Amino acid sequence: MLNHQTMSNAMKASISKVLEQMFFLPVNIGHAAQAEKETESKNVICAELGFKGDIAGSFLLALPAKLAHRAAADFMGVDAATVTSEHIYGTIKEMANILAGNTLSLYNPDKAFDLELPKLKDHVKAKQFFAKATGVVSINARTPGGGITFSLFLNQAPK
Amino acid sequence: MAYNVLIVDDSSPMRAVIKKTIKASGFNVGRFHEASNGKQALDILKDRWLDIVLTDYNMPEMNGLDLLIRIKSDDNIKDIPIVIITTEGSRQRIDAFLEQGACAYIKKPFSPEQIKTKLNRILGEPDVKSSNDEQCDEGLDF
Repeated sequence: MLNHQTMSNAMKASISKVLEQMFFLPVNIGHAAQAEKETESKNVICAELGFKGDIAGSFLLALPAKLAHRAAADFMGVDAATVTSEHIYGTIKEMANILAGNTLSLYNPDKAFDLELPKLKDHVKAKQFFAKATGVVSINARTPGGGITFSLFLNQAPK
Repeated sequence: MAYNVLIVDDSSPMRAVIKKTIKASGFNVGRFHEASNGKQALDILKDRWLDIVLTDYNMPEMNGLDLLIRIKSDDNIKDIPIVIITTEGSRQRIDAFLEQGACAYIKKPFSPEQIKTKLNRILGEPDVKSSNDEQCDEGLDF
């Protein structure tokens, strides 16, 4: 059974650590209105990553395309002008992967879990999917380049 | 000495980050080789001499643990040090990597200093390695 508070704390800690250490993005947690407004727009990149373990479900990461571009350039240490779509999508999938793994390690360090491979997801469909899901924890964060939403939902009947 | 390094990760941006980090650490790298999964890595290992392999765990086709097992069961390549780079930091999973012969693991997110420290320890850069140092991790540095 999910401990919402522990998971929420793990997700917040992961966002701060991962984005600052690997993507050089200072983060302010909890600017919900602004982050949600930005990730509601059309130019949003969304990555989903399923997992199994003591609990099972998926993480969803959504951020504006402009911020994704900047994150890819900073992550790879290259000039933004040389960043391709492949770099951006690969970076956002990797960001979702690291955030999910770090979150689950913080949530329960003693239990192994299996992560699926991250995949890009249509933003509108992802929102609809999450609207029907149970056990959602959603964290909004603000960075100098825009807002990020990192969300979790649980499978209703974990396998 | 120039080291030949194999980086195995299905994410091309992550391979670029690892390369950048190793270069920034000041290691004398002869050549970087890259693979996007364990199968590709084994193909590269068949006909090239590598000094160290840094591999992701979660990959399509063949994951990092299966790659590790395959390398350690092949007499021709079993002595090549393998470093697992993973987001999955549970004790259970780390123990499995080390029991199968991984020399070290690096947990994502990582800092350049962590990469440098691990590689120094494994490859034995003379400025930091004493004759009594263990070559591989003992799994205590979470």
